[in-house]
Amino acid sequence: MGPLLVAFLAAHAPAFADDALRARCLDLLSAYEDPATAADWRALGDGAAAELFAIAQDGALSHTKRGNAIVALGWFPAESHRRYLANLAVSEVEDSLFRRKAVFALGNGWGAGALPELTTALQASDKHLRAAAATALGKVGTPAAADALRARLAVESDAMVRGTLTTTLSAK
Amino acid sequence: MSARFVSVLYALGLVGAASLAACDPEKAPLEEGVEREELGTFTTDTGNAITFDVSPPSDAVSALVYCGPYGYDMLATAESITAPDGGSVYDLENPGATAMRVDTHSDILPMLIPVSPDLGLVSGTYGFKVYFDTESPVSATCTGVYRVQAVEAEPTIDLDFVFVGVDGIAPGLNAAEGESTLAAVVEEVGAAWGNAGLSIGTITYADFDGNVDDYTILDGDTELGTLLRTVSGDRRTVTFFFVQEITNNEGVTILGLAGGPPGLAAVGGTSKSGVVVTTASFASDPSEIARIMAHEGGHFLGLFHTTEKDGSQHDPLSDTPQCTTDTSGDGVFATNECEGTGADNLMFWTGANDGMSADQGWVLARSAATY
Repeated sequence: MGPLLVAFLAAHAPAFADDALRARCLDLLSAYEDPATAADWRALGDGAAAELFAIAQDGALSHTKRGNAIVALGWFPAESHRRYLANLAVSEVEDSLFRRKAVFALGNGWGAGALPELTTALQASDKHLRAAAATALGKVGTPAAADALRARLAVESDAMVRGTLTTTLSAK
Repeated sequence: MSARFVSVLYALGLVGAASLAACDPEKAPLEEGVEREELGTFTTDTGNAITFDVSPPSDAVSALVYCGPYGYDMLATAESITAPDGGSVYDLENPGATAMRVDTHSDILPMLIPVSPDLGLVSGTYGFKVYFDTESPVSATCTGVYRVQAVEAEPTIDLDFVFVGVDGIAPGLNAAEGESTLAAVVEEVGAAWGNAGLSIGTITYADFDGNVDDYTILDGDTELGTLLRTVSGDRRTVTFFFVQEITNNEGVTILGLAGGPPGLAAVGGTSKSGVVVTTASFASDPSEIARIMAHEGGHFLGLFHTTEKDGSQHDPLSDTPQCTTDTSGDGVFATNECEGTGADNLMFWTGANDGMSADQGWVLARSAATY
């Protein structure tokens, strides 16, 4: 984890105020085939965002729980969450799964407003992150997002990512 | 060399995946004990349904009837199933009236009798009516897979592991540490299924021979069926594909997906022929992988959620409690709301429990994949 991200997390890490709410969040994050939706998270109230933020940073938990907590933060689009997700998405030292989740959360939560972060992720050295960014940009669906996808397609050499870019662009 | 001994050698890094699969003389496909019947190709009537009869062999202990493939853009389910004596096995209008469950599926519709000891398979001719969610005429081919092997008091299941771009887990990659962790995972799966009397037999290991990049991060909506169709041969096993991650269209990780439920046991090459497992937590929480495997394997073999997330459906078993209380009123039947009413069961929709019931063991023992 990079020093900037560590400092950011330390400044924003909340205390667990509600054990029951944390348990409820972990329960939703443990679903086998039917993961929690935006509506499920919002039904838990605003307190859920703080718990998700804490879970996302809890190294004692499984990668899938932390990763899905990161995605869920996108359903609570506070500016502090955006900064956290943006830092996570561009951090070359972070786990690839968490970076992909941050990219999706930015796309889900901020849409066209996340274009700068998603376009940056489209240039990442991690091909799976580039593919995730392509998918997220495809969901944003604006002309600017399509321009970013076409620009990447012009230089992309990985077959899997090219396939994702092509599929995303053709779906418009 | 016994399969278990080979597996131990594998876990110790002393044999590779290829040699394990190739050198085990006991690992022949277990075709004996299962019969197949092509029931025919049927075209929908004006009610968008097809009707056909199924007469399992008199010594059959289970009948897996499936129709398809009819594509991923179409859905089908059973409208009705009638028993040889004319009684109802399943009625879409009143699905909770009998100890039977048929879900709605794209591409292939699997229907398994029995899925509960309260409604066992009997000798005679069953009538099936399958409804398709389309106004256009549809032709679908239907097949019966009958297990005619007697039920064992201590049933066994063989497993096929296919590694799809999962460094550190796949044989021959980061060797000892990952392999010993995998052995521990398998032990946990065996312990969970052991609660229902099912033992793990032979395990084969192989690397995915297709394009790993296309599937290691799997789109659960569009790529699951394509991956499962790579299961080759009509083997009496459960094939587990280990991928880095399954995602949905919002980028959320799905822990596991099974063909079905029920999966097409002893049928290869279909979109319902196996199970896919997310391994992202292999290093941080290997027990999670074990739970996913045991849970999804349970689906493949014919088990349903004891209670669904929204409480709308339950399994058809009488000895697994049904959770009917959403005290918080948020539409989610959570673990803390279902304590004592099924949340401790492996087949609850979420959680970290491994409880299993006698009825669940009864169903597992009758799958065409177990012996």
